[in-house]
Amino acid sequence: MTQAATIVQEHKQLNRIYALVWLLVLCACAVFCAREVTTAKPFHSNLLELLPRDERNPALHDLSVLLASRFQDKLLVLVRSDDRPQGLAQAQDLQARLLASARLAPEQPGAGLQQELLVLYRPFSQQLLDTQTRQWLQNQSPAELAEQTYRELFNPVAAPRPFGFAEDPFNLGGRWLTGLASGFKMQEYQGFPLVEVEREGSAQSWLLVTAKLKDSPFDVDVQQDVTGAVQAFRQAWPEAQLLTSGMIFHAAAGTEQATNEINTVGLGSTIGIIALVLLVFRRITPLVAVMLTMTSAYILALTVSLLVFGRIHIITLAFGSTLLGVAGDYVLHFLVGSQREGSGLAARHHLRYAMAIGAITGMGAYLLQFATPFPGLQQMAIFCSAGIFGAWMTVLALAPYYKVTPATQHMPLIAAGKFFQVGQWFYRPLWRNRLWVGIALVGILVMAVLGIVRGGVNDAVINLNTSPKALLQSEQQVQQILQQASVSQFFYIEADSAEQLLVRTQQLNERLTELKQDGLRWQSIAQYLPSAAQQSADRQLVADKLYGEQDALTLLCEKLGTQCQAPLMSEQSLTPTALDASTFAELLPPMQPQGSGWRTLVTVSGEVYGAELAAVAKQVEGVALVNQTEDLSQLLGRYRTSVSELLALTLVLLAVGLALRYRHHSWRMLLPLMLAMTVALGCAAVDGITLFHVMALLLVIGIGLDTAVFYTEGGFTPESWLASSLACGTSILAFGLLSLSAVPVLHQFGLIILVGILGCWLLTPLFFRPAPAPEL
Amino acid sequence: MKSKMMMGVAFALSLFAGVVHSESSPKENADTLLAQLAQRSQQIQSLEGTFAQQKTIAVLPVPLSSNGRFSFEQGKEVVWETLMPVQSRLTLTPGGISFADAKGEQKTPAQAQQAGAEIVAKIFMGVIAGELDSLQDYFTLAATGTATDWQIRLVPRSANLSAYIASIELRGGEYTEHLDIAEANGDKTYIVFTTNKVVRKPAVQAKP
Repeated sequence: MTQAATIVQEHKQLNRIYALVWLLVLCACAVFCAREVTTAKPFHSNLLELLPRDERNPALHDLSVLLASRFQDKLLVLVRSDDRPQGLAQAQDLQARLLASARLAPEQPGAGLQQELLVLYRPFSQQLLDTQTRQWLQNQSPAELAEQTYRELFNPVAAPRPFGFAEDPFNLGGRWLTGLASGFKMQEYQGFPLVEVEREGSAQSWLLVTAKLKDSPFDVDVQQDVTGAVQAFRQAWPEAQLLTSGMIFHAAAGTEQATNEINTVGLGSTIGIIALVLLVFRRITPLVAVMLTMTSAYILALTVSLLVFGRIHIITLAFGSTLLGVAGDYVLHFLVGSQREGSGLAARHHLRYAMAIGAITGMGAYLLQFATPFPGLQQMAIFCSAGIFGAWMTVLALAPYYKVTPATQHMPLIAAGKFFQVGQWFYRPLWRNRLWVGIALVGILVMAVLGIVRGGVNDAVINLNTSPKALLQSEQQVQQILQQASVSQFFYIEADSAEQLLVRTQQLNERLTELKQDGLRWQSIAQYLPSAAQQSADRQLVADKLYGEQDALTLLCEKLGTQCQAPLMSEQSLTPTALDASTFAELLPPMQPQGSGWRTLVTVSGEVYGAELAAVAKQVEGVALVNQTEDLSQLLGRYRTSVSELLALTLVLLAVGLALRYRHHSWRMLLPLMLAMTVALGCAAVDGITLFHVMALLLVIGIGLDTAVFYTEGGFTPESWLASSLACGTSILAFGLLSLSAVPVLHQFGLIILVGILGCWLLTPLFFRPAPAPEL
Repeated sequence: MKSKMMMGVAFALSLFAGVVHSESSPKENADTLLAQLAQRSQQIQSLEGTFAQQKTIAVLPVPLSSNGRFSFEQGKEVVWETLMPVQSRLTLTPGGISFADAKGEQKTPAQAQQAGAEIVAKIFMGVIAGELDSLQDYFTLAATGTATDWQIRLVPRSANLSAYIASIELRGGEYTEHLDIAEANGDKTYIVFTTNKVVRKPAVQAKP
C-alpha cells in the first residue's frame, strides 16, 4: 500500500515535470513562431515552389525557370486607349498610383538600351549582317551598292547612321540594328509604350503601364499595394478597360483565395468543434482542453515546418487547417474516455495504446507523402504530422490534470447513452440482415468500381492551377497583344560548344523562316549574335564587295567628290561573353554553359503551330521542341502511378501489421476502410482520378484506421460510438469545407477525405456487432 | 530599301519609352504660342512648295546639297520629291509609307515593318504639316518668338530616340521656313522651304 502510494507519488512528480517541460516547449515554439512570422514573413504563394523539379533534364529546368522568373518581378497593365487623351490620362493616373508604393519602382527595360546596343555592336559593325543585308551585298554589283547608298544620303527621313559615315559608310550598323527591331511592334505615346493591334475585327490601341517589384511577388505587402492601386484606379475610372499580366496578380489572387479558405476551413472547423464539445459535455473545461490541444498542435506544426522549410506556402496553411479536426480527434477520444473511467489519468492509462497507434498511423500516413517529390506535399506532410504529434503529447501532458467530478460525469454519459440508442436503432436491423447488407455493400462496391473505371485518370496541368479564370484570360490577351514569348512551349537546343550552339540555332532560324507562317514569331540568340564562323565569312564578304580596289566605296566617294578610306575592320568576333555582359542579354533567350556543353532556348510567340514546329525541330541536330504543359502532365501521370504503388504497399504492410496485432479481428478493421476508400475514389472519379486523389487516400487510411482501432479495443459501446462520431464529425466538417475549395488540389483532397471518412464512420460499426456476452 | 533604313528611328521608338517628361517651368507665353501655331497649321487644307536641303556629314569636306518639291494635304498625305541630284519620290500617308526611285519602282516596307514606318511617317508629316500634337508624342516642344517669327525646338522624350536624334529645330513666320535636324552621330540636315501655294480650310471658327 505504501509502495503503491510512493509509485503514485513518483508518477505525480514525473507527470508534473513532463507537463512543465511540455508547456515550456510550447511557449518557446509560440515565441519562435511569432518572431518568425513578424520578421521573416515566411508565408508565400509561389505555386512553382510546390511543383517537383524535372529530374530528367536539369539544364532545361534551369533555363525554363530563368525564363519564367523574368515574368516574376514586373507587372504589365495594358490600358485601352482608342481615345488617346483619355487613355493617356488613365495610364498616367495608374502609373502614379502604382509608383506611389515604396515597394514598386519605375520599370524602363528599353531606356538607355539603344545606347548600350550601339556600344555593344559598334566594334563589329562591318561583320554583322542580317540575311537581307547579306543578300543585298551578294546580289548587287559594287556600282549598284554605291548608287543606292548615295541616294539614301539625300533622303530626309531615312538613315539614322548610328556609327557615322567614316566608320560605316554603307550603314551596315544601321541595317543590323534595324533588323533586330523587326519583331517589335511597339510605338511610343507621351512616354508610354503604345501598341496598336487588329483584334476581334477592330483596331485597338493600348498603352502599356509597367512597374518593377522591389520585393518578391509573393510578399503579401507588395500584393496589397498592387491590388490596392489597381482597385482604387478602377473605382476612379469605372469605364477604363484594363488587361493585367505578371506573377504578382496571380500571387495576389492566390493569397486572397487561400486566406479565404483558411478562414472558412479554420473558422468552420473551430466553430463546429466548439459546438460539438458543448453539446456533448455541456461544460467549459473540456472545451478548454480541446482548444488547448488544437492550439498546441498548430503551434508545433508551424514551428517544425518553419524549421524544416524556412518558408511555408499558403496552400499548406489552408490544408493544415484540417489539422484542427484531426487534432480534435485525440482530445475527444480522451475526453470521452475520461468520463467513462472517472479521471483523466485512468483514461490515459486505458487508452495509451489506442492513442499511440492512432497518432503513429496518422503521422505515418502524412509522412508517406514526405517521400513524394512534390515539395508542396512534403510541407503538408511535415506540417500535419508535427501537429498530430503535438496533439498527442498535449493530451498525455494534460491527462493528470483533467478531473471529472461525479456530478458532471453523468452528463456526457447520458448524451453518449442517448446517442448510442440512435446508433443501435440504426445498426441493429443492419446487423440482423447480414445477407442484405452484404449484397448492398457489394452493390455499392461495384458501382464505385464502375465509376472509377469510367472516370479513368486525369493528369491535366490545370489541376495545379490556382488562378481565377478571368485572370488567366487577361494574361493570355496581354501575351497576344504584346506578342510575348510563350513560356510553356519553346525550342531547346544543346551543343558541345558555344559556337556549335550558335550554328544550330541559326539553322533553326532558317528552317523557321522557310515555314513562312505569318503569325509565327520567334526569338533566338543567333538573331543577336551570329556564330564566329558566320561573322568571319561576312567580314570577308564586306571587305571584298565594299572596300576592295575599284569597289563600292571607291565608286561612292567618286560620286561624293571626295577621297575616302575604308573603315577599320575588327579582327575579333562578338562573343557570347560580351553579349551576356550587357543588360540587353536580359531581354534575350538565355544561353548557358552546362557541364561540358552549351544550352539555349528559342522562344516562340503568336500563333503556334505545334506539329510544324515539332517537324522543324527534327530537322536540326540537337534541337527539341519542349511543351512544358505536356511534360508536366506526364510528370503528374508518373507520380500518380508511383503513389498508387505506394498506396498498395501501405495497405499490404497495414494488413500484415494488423494481422499480427489483432489476429482474426484484422479483417474487420481493413474491410470497412477499403470499402470507404473505394467509394471515395468512385465519387471523385467523375472528372478522372488525379495524383491528389490518390494521395488523399493515404490520409484516409490514417484517419479512418483510428475509428476501427477504437472499436477493436473497446467494441461498439456508447463511448466508442460517441468518440468515433465526434472525431469523424470534426474531420468531416474540416475536409467537407476543404472540398468546397476553388483550388483544384484542395478540392480533390477534401472530397476524397470527406467521403472516405464518412464511409469509415458509417461502415465500420457494421463489422463490430456487439457480442451477446460482452468481453470485459 | 530606304524605307528599311528609316526603320532605325522606328527601332529607337519601338523600344520601351523613357521617363515621362515633365516640364517644370511652364512658360505660359511659349505654350500660348505653341497653341497659336498649332491652330494656325490646322487651318491649312493643303500646301505646296520647294525645298533646298543641305546635309553635313561628319567626315565629308563638302555638304551634300539637294533640292526638290513637296506638297501636303491635311490629314491625307505628304509628298517629298527630290529632283536634284537624284530623283526620288516619297509619299507618306497616315496608312503607310511608299517610295519610288528614278525608275518609278514602287517599294513598300514588309508587313512586319509597316508599324515602324508609320512612326517615321508621323514624325515627318508632323514636321512638314506642323502637326504639333502628334510631335508631342515623341518630343518635348519649346517655342520662342512671336507668331510671325517663331522658333520651335524639339527634344526627344525617350533615351532611345535621342540615341539617333539630338534635336530638331523649326523656324518660320507664316509658314515653316527652316528645318534643322541634328543627328546624334554629328551629321546635320538643314532644309529651307519656300511655300508657293496654300489652300486654307473654310473659316469655321476663326478666332481673332
